[in-house]
Amino acid sequence: MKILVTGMGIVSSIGSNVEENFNSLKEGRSGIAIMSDIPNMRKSFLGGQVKMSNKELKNNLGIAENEKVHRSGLFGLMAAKEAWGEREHDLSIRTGIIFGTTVGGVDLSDELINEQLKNKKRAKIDFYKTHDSGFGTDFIAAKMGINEYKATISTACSTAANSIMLGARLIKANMLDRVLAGGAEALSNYTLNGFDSLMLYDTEKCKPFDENRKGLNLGEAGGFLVLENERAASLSGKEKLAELSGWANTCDSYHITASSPEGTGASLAIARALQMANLSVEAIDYINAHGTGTPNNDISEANALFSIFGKNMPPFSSTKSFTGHTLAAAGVVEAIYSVLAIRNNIIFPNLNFNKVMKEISLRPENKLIINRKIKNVISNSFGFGGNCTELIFSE
Amino acid sequence: MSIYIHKCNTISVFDSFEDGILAHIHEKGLRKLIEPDYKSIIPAAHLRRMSKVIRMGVAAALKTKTDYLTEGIIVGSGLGCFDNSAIFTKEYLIKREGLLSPTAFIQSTDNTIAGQIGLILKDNSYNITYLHKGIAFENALTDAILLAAENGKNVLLGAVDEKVELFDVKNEKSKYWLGEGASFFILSAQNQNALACIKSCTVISVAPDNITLEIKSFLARNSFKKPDLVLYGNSFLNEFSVPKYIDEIEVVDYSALCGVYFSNSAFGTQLAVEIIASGKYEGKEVKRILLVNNFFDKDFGIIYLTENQHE
Repeated sequence: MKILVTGMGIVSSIGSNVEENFNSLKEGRSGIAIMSDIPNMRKSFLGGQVKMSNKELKNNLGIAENEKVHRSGLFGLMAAKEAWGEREHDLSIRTGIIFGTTVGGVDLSDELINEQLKNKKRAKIDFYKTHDSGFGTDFIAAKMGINEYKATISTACSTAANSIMLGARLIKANMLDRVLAGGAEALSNYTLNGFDSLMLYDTEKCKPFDENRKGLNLGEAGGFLVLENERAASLSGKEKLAELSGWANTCDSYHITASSPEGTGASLAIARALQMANLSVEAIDYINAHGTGTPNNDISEANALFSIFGKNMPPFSSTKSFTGHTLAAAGVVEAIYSVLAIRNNIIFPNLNFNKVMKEISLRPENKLIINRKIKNVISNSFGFGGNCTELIFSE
Repeated sequence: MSIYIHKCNTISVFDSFEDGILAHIHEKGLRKLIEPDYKSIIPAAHLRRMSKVIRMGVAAALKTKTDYLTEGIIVGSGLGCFDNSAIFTKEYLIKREGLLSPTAFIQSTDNTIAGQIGLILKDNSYNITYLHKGIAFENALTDAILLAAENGKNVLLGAVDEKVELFDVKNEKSKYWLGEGASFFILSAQNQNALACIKSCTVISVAPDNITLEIKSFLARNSFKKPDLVLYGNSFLNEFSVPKYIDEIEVVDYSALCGVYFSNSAFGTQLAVEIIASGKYEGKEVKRILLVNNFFDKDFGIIYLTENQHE
């Protein structure tokens, strides 16, 4: 059974829809800049912010300003609407939604706890009802009119990739015909301080796979894919954008926040996804790498890639140099960029790359490549807890 | 798709960790979690850095995993490591200068529980975490049903939630009170030596007035026989009346036994498995159980279990 991608929606620091994101990628426009407008910041950081306030997002989405919704939920709804497009609900098409964030509405919790610390008052449970991870899924499901199946995944930085994978598995098992699958992540004081406490930041723009990389820049985004089986796709009459031909999820089981130096979990996941898609290493035309820019991730990932592809290494790049690391959303943001690479026969550059890592001679593409036939793309997503998820998109 | 349960372990307010819930169900509970000796289960180097919810989940998982080869670790939790998020938030809001300790931040990452289980077991297989309030266990169980059918192996599935003080709306008169617990299961698509069978797991999101009709339609659609017992629970602390889902069937409220917490339908599931494996409840023969998890009168988790024989 084929799993078809028939819709995509995205909001990120390089655009508020798919077309704007594509144009920024083509034109080499990064969204990373000094961040502003986040309450209670201890320091200033570089990152990829969506250039819309919550008020603007709510206005665009037709949501009352006083409705309690976290920023990740707003990104999610915006992307869901674009991905869904003009589609009609059809009772014969069993439809589900899978969404994820890493920290849910911690932007709201932050404000609330700050108030409490000032006023020495205990908050009521009601205030917290909109702060958990599942809230965003319920919110988007209700607005999109989906109530047959809903799930919320939380696997740190591979969350949205796992949402897409679960969507495909539910369709393959004939439990659903259509799934809106994705994730969202709003920048918050919480995650900024969290990654700061782990000392994972680059004070300059991140340089994935570069010898002199220092760390990551965070970013915010939301994205959704519409996955359909052939029956649902023919009923909805949407163009098939790509096929999701392979996937795998493994656990690195090396360290709770760091990747193994040799990339054990990642290479195992890539091998399994290739096997499932029934593709040889030579058939892969482009790899959208996880490439966060941290010293640990990039060497681990490079070793994993080399162990699988060796001399047949296809072109690869990390588009986090455009968007920053969008955590729970990264998997769907990069899935969309992978589909765009196939649709447009194009490879997006890895910005800010200058010098090959001394441990391993792998050079990401640092220039835009056009008119290159792209049939199969692998997208890598790794997360805390040792989570490694691979998605393969095919023409 | 059916899935068979081969083993389960629960940390609860009953002394259930060694020999299950049924053996202790008539003991006067103190509404306080009876925790196992974690040191004897979790390697010391890992245990030192673990918060309570991580300890509970990891201990229940390791105990359940003993003697079984598995492929796949699936964890569901209503709030995951929520308590640690509040700790880290306070830390950076109060400490405006200098370095922050990353411990609470790391422990607030919700998939730390599943990640730690994978790490301790040196297990490279499928690893995932669901976090969806009152239906987190149903999310996780649905994935386990898929995975067991896909890989033909044993799957390690569990759910865990700790008591978060913030949610403790005290009401002495109520039979409901805020609880916590961890329950893990070994499941597979093979029925040999299984304790019970899960025939279906779904979530119905409707108004409470319509749930009886929806359940009847669920049973009819799947050609399921009328259950011998209904296990009912609330996964949100409030006064929801226990409805009579199907005429003349006894309803046992498991949330009044284990306390109310988001993933308590995992406790209910272990109770159902034990009842089915023993073949009776309070002297009455039980072969089929319908488990109904009421989350906030909004989402209803529905699990239908039978004895270990195909019907």
